[in-house]
Amino acid sequence: MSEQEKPITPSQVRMVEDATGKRTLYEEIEVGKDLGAFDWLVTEEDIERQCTLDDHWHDWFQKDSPWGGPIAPPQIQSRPPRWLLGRTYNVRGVSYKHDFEYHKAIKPHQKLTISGKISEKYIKREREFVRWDTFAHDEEGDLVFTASRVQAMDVIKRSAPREGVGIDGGIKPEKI
Amino acid sequence: MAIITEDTPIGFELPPVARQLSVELNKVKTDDGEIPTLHTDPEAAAREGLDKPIAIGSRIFGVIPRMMMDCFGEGWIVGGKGSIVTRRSAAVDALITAKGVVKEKVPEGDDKIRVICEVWVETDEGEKSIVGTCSGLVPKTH
Repeated sequence: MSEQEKPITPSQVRMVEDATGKRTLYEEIEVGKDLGAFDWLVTEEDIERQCTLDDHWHDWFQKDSPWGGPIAPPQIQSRPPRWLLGRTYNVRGVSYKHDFEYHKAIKPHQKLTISGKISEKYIKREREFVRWDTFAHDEEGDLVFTASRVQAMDVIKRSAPREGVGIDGGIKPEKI
Repeated sequence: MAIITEDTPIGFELPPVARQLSVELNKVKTDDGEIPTLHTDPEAAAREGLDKPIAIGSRIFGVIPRMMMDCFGEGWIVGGKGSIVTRRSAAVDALITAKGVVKEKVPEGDDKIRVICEVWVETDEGEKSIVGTCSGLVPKTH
């Protein structure tokens, strides 16, 4: 059996760092911490990319809508909260919970200000979890969407030491 | 036109939406090209404790908004809400199906009703990957 054919054994240790830097420790997560804010310009390319990813080519996303012109699929708001977290903390792990609300339709060429804070951290079933709340406001100051997400910081139990070097990172490219 | 109205009964089953995922849909690309992630690279996945790459959560979730939009139209785009949990991962090339059922109807304001649905995403192995609730608004006419 060649090296390429050998099965890869899942790690028994957690990663201490990865290609994007040192992994954030549970102890380093500050509940209440302001995650800052950044502006996100929603482009036509973003909308087309989201339609492709979800194979959802509704006329409202391509042509016209009740809100005047095309709008973005509302689930496009799933990514910016992850970008926001990544600007402060390097958390890989896997997504666990997602609470959201859509308040206004999102249009192409619209600038949204994404902001948020760490709202909770907890340990459950020997894993570490972090919750952060995200808010998006348009240039008129109106709330466009809210999202509260929970990320399991690692798949591997917290009793495992952090010794390994990961490949994937928690800091994601800020692209749809 | 939205499928669900104020007269839709409790227990109504939402028309399901199915999607075949693929490795391509789970790739993460930058201006410099594709980057290895636990969603596409077996070694990256293994270092995170996984025995194989898993689908991106938002790829799995993506069939739910399609289902909800079919059912609620405008009332999903503005006023849509959800609370979902990822119970188990799905393979990057899984066949996934969003399903749902109307559970509750609650007045919201003077002229709308919030219709709350239990929703979930099943894999072709019959396992529920995502579970939770989503709701949309419908006009109140009587």
